[in-house]
Amino acid sequence: MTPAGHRARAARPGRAASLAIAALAAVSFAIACGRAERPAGGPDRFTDAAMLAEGARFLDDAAFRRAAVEESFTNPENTYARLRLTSYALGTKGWDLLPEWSPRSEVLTRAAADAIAAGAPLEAAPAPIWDGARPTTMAGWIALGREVFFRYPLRAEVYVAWSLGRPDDAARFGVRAADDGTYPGVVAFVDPRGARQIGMTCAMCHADVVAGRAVVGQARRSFDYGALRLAYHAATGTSAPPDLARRMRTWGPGRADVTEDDDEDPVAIPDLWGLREQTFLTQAGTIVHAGPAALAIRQETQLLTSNHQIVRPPRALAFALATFLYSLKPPPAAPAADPVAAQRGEALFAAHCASCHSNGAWGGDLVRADAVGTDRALADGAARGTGRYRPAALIRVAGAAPYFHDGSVAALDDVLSPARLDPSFRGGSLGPGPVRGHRYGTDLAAAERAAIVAYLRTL
Amino acid sequence: MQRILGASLLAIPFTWAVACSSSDAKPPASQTGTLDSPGGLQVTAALASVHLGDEKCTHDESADLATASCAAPAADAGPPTGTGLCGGPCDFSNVQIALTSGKTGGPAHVTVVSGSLIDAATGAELQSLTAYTPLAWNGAKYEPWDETIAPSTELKASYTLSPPAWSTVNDGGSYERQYRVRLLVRLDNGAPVTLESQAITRDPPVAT
Repeated sequence: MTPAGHRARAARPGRAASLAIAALAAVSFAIACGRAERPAGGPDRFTDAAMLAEGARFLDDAAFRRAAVEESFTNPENTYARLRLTSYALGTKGWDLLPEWSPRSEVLTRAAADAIAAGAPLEAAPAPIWDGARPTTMAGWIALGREVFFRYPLRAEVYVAWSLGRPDDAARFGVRAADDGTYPGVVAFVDPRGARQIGMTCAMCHADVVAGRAVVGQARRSFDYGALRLAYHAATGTSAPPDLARRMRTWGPGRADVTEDDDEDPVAIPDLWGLREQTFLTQAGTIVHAGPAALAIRQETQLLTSNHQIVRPPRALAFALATFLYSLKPPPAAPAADPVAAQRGEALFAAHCASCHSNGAWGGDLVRADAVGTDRALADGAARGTGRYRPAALIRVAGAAPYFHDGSVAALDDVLSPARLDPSFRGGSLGPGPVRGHRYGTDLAAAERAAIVAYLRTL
Repeated sequence: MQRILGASLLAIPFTWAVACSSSDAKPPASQTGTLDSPGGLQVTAALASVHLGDEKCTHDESADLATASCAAPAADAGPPTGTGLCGGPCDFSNVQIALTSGKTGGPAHVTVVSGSLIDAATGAELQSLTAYTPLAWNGAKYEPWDETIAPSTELKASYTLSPPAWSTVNDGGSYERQYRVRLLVRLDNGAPVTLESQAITRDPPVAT
């Protein structure tokens, strides 16, 4: 590990910097004792009516977009924030001047994949994602957002394309077809230069295929992108840059390093449940989620940067994607195996956990990384670091292993177990040895920990 | 002490003169600029985005990946190090420029005369860059462009940039270092204008 540290940087001139400095000063005071940090905003901005109103401003008011991006970052000096603050909603320069790309794209079917593997060309003219008409109802926005989630390409994806000709290998890396014959997250599309491509969409990481069905919003923890890329290179006799290859070998299923820095800080793919409850976005709390515009900007700029900044998505599609993500509902929770223990666990949770896991999705506001004590590379990283971590949303936590932002804890019982902290521990998902940090609850009696775990399994 | 004070006071006008003359001689680089052609066309140019991709990545990225015949690499592709489409997929550097022409004058030819990669911290030029494969947006996709711009035109152009030699600069191409891309652009034989990006970083291998 080579944590970069939370570097001091020259102040960015202008109003945004002043606002940011004032905000940081205020929150620094608030969290001086490791307490959770909560931004302005609140649930009123996430009702359907409020979201539609904010969506209209996001779409039609450039000054609103600029103000929204300026209030979007916990640490405006990390590279993620800097790029957006110096590129987004500037009018006469920057990303506003990129062409708007509304792609033609279709979710790939097993039949099409088989044909491509046999040498057939890709479909010449897949259907457009959007007809250009803005929806007028929330249901319409959500339906359009679903199309974006499954069909808007994040980039051409040669590794996934290669795996389609080897279904057994593809499945081993988490690239699976559902029973309806589609590959969720894999599309055939026409790229911004007119070339037919195989691409990857949001659904690749955030729609698992369980018992033949796509479970939208559930992290695809079997998706082993690093191993897939390495397998491609091995099979084709090509090579990845050596340092990247070494790093990809450490990712494992359900993890990838997505940050624009030199740190080795792969993160576990998160579930997307309960987003309206989240006051910050990303495990390091990079984005202040004060309102739906923050998520729409997050999606717009993600679709833009992942396509190498040569085009930008229609903003209507970014807002639609945000509404779709807000609409996601988790599968039903399991009934308590031991209702008495779960009931006792609920009381213990309220006493020992709820000060941080405080919102409706059992997530919470930011906590200083040194107070959490887990691996600091992500929190301190130059790319998206804030010096803090966001308490994970615990909704459907029983199915969300591995745990912690880096997926280092394999089993739910181990999260609260003091054995995890011991050098002799062998149960960590990243290898033998102790898994540091989040000592909360590890000092409770075994029966109390078991009760809390019983309760967690019902969330 | 008096001599030192006197010398210091004498130095003040000199400092002012130097500061003013250097300011007059070299205006700060900008993401936008105005190009003039000898034929009277005026074009506003603005950098929309710059993307810094992989080292030695210069193949034609418009190749159809699904039917990818590994065609012979472009002449400037460099040795087969495994970071090109046929030697392995890679990520191309590129720059996007928005051009808006005035109403008067005749059509003119846009030329990116030269480019360079700048260390944003020191201002040092790290290497020269070439902008090639000019494309223009036709409303649905980028298509080859002859770099001609007519009056009363809004044009969104894209160029591939020759790849930065990351292994030779700044700690092997740190993702945390900040860079600027500087382009010298002109219209026909008009005076070249400098466009310079804001400070940017390399994009990560998995951009999300």
